[in-house]
Amino acid sequence: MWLQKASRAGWVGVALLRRVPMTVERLMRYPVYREGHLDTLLARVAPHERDTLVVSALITAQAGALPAKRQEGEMCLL
Amino acid sequence: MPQSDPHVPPNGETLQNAVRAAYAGHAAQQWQVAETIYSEEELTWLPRGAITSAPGLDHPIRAAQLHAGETILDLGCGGGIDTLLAARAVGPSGQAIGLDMTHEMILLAQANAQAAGLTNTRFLEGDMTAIPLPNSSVDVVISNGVFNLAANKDLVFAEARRVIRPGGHVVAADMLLAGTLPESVRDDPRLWSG
Repeated sequence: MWLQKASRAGWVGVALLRRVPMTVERLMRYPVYREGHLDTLLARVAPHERDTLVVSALITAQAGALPAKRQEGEMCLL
Repeated sequence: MPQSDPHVPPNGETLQNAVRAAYAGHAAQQWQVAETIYSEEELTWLPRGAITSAPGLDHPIRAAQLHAGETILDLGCGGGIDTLLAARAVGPSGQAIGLDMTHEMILLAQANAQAAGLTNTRFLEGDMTAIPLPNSSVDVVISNGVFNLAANKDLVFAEARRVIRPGGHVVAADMLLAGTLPESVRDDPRLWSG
């Protein structure tokens, strides 16, 4: 959905570079979840989904034509 | 809590105020996230205050391939960890600009930049849906765990597009839902400010 939103805003070459599941252990490093809200978040999620419900994603997109050096770099990243 | 669907909370202003209040409180806290993202060399170079205030999800600087002399905008810079790394990457001929809507985070980021001995950083207090910069004024936009805090993501993407120069790019790390949540959870402002 975010990739579609970025495309609508005029970005081109929108690409997902990396997608990593946010496990419960990793989520617990963030204050809002340490403060007890993780229970709220996961209350209606099946146990087997708890480590995959949230993911971290790294996305990139370009604004217009790219210089050659940047295009080469992006292709390496992808 | 991040949204991966078109749902928009009934009151975006309420959400924004809740996020601002949460992060004002977080400025004084010590987090343990950076150790899982940044390299040993980076963690050694960075001021302690930048490390303990970092709530990011990934390493946009590493993916952005910054060049000397470029101007970088860090949307939602928080305590400034990525702004500092960007400033180091672009060198004294470039500039790293951090934008955050939380006054306490701006003060913290300024202190961290000073502690790092950087002279090419600039921190702006403002909203990423109305970025206080001219059109086509930056080369690269980075963001780390911030887009998910915006109720109107279309506007944030449009603003980022407005300030970036032709040929520039954006690298954003963020948190997304891989499933769906009940509205009672999605509309709780406290869960948007991880």
